Amino acid sequence: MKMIFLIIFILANYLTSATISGYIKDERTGEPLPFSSVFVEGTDINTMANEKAYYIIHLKAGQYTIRFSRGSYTDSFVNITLSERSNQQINAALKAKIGEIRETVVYKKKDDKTQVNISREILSPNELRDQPQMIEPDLFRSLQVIPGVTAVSDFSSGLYVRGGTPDQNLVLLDGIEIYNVSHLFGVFSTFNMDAIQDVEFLKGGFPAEFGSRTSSVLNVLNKEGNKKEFHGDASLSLIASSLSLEGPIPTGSFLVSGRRTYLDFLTALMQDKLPYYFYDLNGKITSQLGRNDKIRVSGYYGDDHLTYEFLTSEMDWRFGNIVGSAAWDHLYNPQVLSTLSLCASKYKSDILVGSDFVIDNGVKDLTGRLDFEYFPRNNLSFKAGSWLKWNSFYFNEKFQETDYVAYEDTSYYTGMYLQNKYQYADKWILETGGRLDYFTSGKYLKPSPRIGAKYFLSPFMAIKGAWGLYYQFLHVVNPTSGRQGYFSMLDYWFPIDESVKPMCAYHYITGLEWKRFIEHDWELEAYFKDMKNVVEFNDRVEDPQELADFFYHGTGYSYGVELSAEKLNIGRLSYKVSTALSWTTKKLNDFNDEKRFYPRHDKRFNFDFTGDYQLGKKWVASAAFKFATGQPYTRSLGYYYQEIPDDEFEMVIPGDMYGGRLPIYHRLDVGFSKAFKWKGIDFKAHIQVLNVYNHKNVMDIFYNFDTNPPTKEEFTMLPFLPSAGIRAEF
Amino acid sequence: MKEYLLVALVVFCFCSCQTTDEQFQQQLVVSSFLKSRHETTDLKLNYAEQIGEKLDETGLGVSGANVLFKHGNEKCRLNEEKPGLYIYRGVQFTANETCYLEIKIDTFFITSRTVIPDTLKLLGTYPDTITIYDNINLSWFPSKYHSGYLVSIKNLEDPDKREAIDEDYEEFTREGRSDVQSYLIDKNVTKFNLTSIEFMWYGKHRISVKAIDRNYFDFMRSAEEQSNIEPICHINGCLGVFGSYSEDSIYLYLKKEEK
Repeated sequence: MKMIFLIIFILANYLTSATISGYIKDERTGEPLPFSSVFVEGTDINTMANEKAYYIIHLKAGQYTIRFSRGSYTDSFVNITLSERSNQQINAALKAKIGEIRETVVYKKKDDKTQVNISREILSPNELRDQPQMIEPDLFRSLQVIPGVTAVSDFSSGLYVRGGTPDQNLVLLDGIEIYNVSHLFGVFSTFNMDAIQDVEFLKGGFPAEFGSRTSSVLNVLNKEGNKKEFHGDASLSLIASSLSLEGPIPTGSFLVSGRRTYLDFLTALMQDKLPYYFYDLNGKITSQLGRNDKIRVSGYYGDDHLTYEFLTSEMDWRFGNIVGSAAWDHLYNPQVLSTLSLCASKYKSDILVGSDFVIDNGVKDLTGRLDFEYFPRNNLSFKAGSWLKWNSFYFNEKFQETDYVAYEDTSYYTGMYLQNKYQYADKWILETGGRLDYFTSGKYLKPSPRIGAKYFLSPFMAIKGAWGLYYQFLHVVNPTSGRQGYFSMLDYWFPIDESVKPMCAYHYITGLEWKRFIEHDWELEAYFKDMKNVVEFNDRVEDPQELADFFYHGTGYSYGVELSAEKLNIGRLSYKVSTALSWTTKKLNDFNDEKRFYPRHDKRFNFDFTGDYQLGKKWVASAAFKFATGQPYTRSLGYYYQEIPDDEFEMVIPGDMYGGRLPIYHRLDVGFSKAFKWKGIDFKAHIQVLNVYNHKNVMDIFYNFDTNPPTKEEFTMLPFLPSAGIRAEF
Repeated sequence: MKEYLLVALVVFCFCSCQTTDEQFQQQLVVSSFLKSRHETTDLKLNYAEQIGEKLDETGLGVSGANVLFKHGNEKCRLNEEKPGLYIYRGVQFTANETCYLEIKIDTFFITSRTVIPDTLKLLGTYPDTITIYDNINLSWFPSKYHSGYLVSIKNLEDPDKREAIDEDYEEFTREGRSDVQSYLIDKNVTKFNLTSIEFMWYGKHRISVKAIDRNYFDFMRSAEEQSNIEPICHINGCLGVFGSYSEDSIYLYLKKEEK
């Protein structure tokens, strides 16, 4: 009976209410601005645009003022008069605050009372560019300052999110899954900042629409391109150059962006050899077919190439991704929209040493995806969809025409989800959902319930929580992951089977957000992640009979507390401080005497400061400071020389696995940038200094056996490193 | 109050990532490789040393151990000829024979065993002198009772006088590397293509092919210098390897010559 009343109520409400809906765009370029906020002035009604920059608000007939807002853009106001059961389409255009002293910098989450927003960050590359970067702006390095995210070294762009490993992150570029996100042996990520529009990063408790990973989701949205005029960006740094071109086409826009490193040329000029380069290309075409249909086609190609010549032989190593997708957005009516996507992704790594040694490995992915969004009321929305994915994996190792490994496998994965969001009495937001995944390799059918809730204690203070169950059916084997370093270009993806159970993780998250308290926005989150069926590659397997024999199996958990504070209404000064206290442990069968251990990425305490100061309309000074307690490493307790016929090995006797801690890590980076105009072209030049006081942060400890006794030596990370670059917009 | 809380938090953070309190414990290291159809066999028994302590190569040989080889119905007691060096002369191990090791000293009781691989014989004839532009295809008659093959290329020139083939390559490989290049080969493969990439220096080389037992094979595939994971040893009570092999070798002179 209650259900009938509810349906009648919804129908009655539907029949008497009117709606306004539309897309929020950049005034200058016409590009969509996802995650912008929409407010109905004088009421508590507000909403946030989705990742396609679409919004809808249900209102009763009357006159209203609608405010469209996004940080670093000037608010836009629209007055409307709504009659009963009318649908007004209002496409808002926001004007960027170029060359102005800012009021606020980061637009994420502020004043948004429509989302639970747990463990969620939304980032804009334009703002991240002002932070000191490691020579080249890099998205993953920017994410490493978020509390709960750690890196194993200065040289790694891999993300370890709340105790998870990089292969537990779902990385999407315009909805396409990317399997290897590294360039330059992991120093940079595959994403070209010039091509990125927005980044959504979910470090836990993510909703049912995302599946197949247990740790986090990184959803990168590329720019659609300027819809009004031709425009270009060119940038030059010490190691790379990039060029982006964008402009209108009939019914839409295009974007092409490419970059290439020139370390190979520079080192050759200096009479040295580093025969390595990478390049990547991003492209996107968008076409608006009438009011209700939009087609998006995007692609990415990246290639890293290392060659090293010996006298009569050559080592040749190529690795990279090639991906493409086509998506069709359709608006059935203002309340229902759908997206149909077809995606293809391939990662390959080919190593050839002379004619003797060949290692090929790769993963291919074909995905079809259909998603629906339904907004029946302001306080109620649904999202449902399904994924169908085909994967192919291969790994061949050949030495002198003999196959040592010849592995090939395929798998199918289907997933269906339904999630809804419900707001009650301006106090509660409840997000519930569920996902059902089926994986053919091993025939696993796994339901994953998810729930998130937020309760407003006051207009500026809310408590929130999330719980969810997450499954993962693919893993990465990396011969370096269990050791001191991590080189992501050696990642080998493989699917589980009936002998290896799917990894699962339970996320328990709770948090408090307190806005406008002592002129800051505060976020406090505590989490516990319980991981089952964790696998680690066993490179010493003897006589394997099935897939499970190649791994150590066990459990893990991580927990911690994260606190961040972001300064509000700052004028010239903008900064964010964050700190995290966290624990990650694992226990694996037949490994480390089955004792629980802290893995390499367990960092107990982290403190990050990032900020910038506008010295004038043209000058910006920025700084980033990082402090972290030492990472675990395995100590050497003793040593000996192991004699074998013809040779001798210098051996150390290791202590408990990761039983020691490296020294404390800290580093200060500073940068200055200046915007100026020359011959009608906008330029922005920057100089940056990394590790200003040249602190020797230790990455690893080893011993020099040329002395007796062997002397301890430390492999240190980034030294004092100045860099400069310039960017032009035309 | 705030200050106390801050200090307490900092102390908590640092205490929570204290390292485990581990102490070095004295351990013995065995090195013994029985060679098929070879009349003399030896075993070295040493102590490992604590990191930071000087290793006195003579002083760490372990004297006074009772070292026994058992094979078939025979028991051979090895004589200590130098501190830590135990030798037995006059025994020949034959293919597929299992040899057991027993060492007793103080509180240590060490055991292991190895199965002796069959004889290995290189096939064909090989030139005495080659250049880096030559390829040599080594092949051998398949052995039996082995777990794999090991091909070793050892430069025999004076380390202070020898000339590197490629200076960059030498720089690349010099640090911490021995002057032996070794390749583990699958037990079913009976050939190896010797190209310039296998050489680092000009001059005289010894190229050996060994059929190796499981202990030797597992050690070679798992041993990594200065690794934080111990190699696979198949030895109870101490570190080291008790392995066996059969071997054939050739000598080559790598001549410097422009093409």
